[in-house]
Amino acid sequence: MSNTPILSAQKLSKGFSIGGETLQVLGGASIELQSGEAVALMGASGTGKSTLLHLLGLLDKPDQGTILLDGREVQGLSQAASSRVRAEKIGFVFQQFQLLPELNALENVLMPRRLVKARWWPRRKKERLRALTMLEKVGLSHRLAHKPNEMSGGEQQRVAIARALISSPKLLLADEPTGNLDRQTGIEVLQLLLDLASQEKSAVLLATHNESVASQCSRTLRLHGGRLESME
Amino acid sequence: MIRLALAYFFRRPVQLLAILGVGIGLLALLVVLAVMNGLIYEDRVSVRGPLGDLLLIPPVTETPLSYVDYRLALEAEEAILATAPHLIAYALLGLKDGDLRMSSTRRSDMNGVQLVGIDTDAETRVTAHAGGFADSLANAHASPVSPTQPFPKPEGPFARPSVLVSDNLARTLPQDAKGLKNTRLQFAALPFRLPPQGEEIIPANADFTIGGTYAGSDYEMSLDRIYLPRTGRYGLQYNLTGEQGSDFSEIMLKLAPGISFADGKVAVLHALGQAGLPIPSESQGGSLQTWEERRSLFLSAIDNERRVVTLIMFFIVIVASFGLFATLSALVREKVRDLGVLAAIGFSPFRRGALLFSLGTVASAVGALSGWAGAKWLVSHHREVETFLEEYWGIQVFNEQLYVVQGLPARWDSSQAFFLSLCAFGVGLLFSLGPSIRAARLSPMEALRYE
Repeated sequence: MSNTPILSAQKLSKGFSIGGETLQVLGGASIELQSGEAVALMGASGTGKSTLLHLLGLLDKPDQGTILLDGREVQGLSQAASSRVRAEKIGFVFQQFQLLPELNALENVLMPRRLVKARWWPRRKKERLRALTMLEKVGLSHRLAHKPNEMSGGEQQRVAIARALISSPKLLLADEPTGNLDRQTGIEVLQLLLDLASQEKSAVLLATHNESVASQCSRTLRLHGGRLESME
Repeated sequence: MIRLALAYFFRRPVQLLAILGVGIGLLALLVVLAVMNGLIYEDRVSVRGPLGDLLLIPPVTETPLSYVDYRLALEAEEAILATAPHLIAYALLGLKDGDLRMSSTRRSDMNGVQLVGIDTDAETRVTAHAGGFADSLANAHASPVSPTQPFPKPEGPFARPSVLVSDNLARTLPQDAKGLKNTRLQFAALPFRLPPQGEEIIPANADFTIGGTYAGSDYEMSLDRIYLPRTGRYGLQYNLTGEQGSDFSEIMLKLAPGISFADGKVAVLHALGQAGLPIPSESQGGSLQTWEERRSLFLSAIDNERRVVTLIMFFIVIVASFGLFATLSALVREKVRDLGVLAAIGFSPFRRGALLFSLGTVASAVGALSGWAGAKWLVSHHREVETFLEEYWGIQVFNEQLYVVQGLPARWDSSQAFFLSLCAFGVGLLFSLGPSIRAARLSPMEALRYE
């Protein structure tokens, strides 16, 4: 493991204006993730876990603080530039799976690859092969043409994992990935997620309420009072 | 992305209805315009009627003008194919020894007529177009005459020269037992030059008989036109206007094929100049006009009517495009979460907007294309559709009694249809812009929170 963190966020602050008053959600949160490392992010509801994931995923901008992703400062990028960084370096896994209902499993997995590479035919073929491999890795090679509403929750989350990892992202952000699954399926999906992320050498930041889920990660951080504390 | 756009496209039937709306709006516009094109075309034929390509009215001169001088000068030009003289006199019409109604000069519906003396062969040659002199003879229905010999030699020692009256005038004339033909008409014409003030005007009176009728289509004539030979024993000059003055009033010209009106005018002026004949001008009087200039008032009126109809009908397309706007806006609302997911996996605002815009583009294209195709089919099969509606539903689409043309006319103008379809497509794109911008501006974070 390299000593240079793949993600380094320092003193992130974020507040939301609600009813004329500012609700400070994050107040100086800092985090560093190494390549291939899996870190659990815990905290009570409303403490800002999702907000932190959104900031690190460049879906929102911090009021203060810096974010270095793969050695590049990214917190001030334009929306278009942020989108490019997300497409190339960040993967998301959501609690609600968030697959596109009109597309089948293969098309859902391929979706991120439609953005970053040239569209000429040999490249497309290569990307299709990559998507097939990913679906095979998550054990869904027999469900390629199935749409989300034709799959179970566990299967949908596996497709979402394949989609998040198809671009071999540097950073995988998972927001309660097992929150909508039964215990056994949750364990299987989590294991799959961590294994595949490790194979792709992606750093994982996984938000969860579940201690047993957190225990699967190499370390755990707790969000409390807008700051991150280590739970080792 | 196209796959996703198409998936959204076929997701809800209401989307297809919006597209259908654009298609039907465009179809209505194109069909109505095709019918208007047809009517305008038919009207142009009627409006032109017996006019040649150009009409030359020479300036008034002290010395009488001779048609032969003009013919020789004009027909020497290659650009001019033929000329036809008109000798025109205005007269009051009465029935010889007959009807008091037609003979009373105090009646408000007294008939003033324009007597046009023509050279039959020249007239036929110069107006050899649809609605020309030969056509008007061929289409006569009250009392048709031979197109080659419309003014037969009168029979009997006391027979009077024959004239051609319009079908419309023939209908108003009292019929006697002998029928329309050979009905005696009496004309009282003004002398070729009015006497000085204070002196008595002595009208020229002459009797003629009706030789037959023609189908009239003069739009700007408030008087009835009556044809008769220009010169000779049975002509207008000999029998009514006298030999004094010019032997023609105006000359119609037929231009050689491929000669534009502008070039034709230049050739006429050149010929007149070369021959030393008086040239029409503002100071000298007279005129040289194309038939379109002569009928410009009517032609510009019907053209204006078409523009107004196009404008009004295009509003239907605009209203129909609102449907597209509404469904795309609804789609953005419905797909907020998907748009958030797309943002998370790397779709830039531009791409998210482009997704919706491509949907609007496809919908507008399908709408415009279906409208264009439907209109093209309907225009090319309008006779069958008319027959079907009349036979099965009893709906009379076009009442021929009300119009001067036979059957519902429709003419497909490809460039006009293409341009309007393109406009409809453009309006569709314009209405797609709003929802697309909204999709692009959607905050990914808020979109992901949307459940």
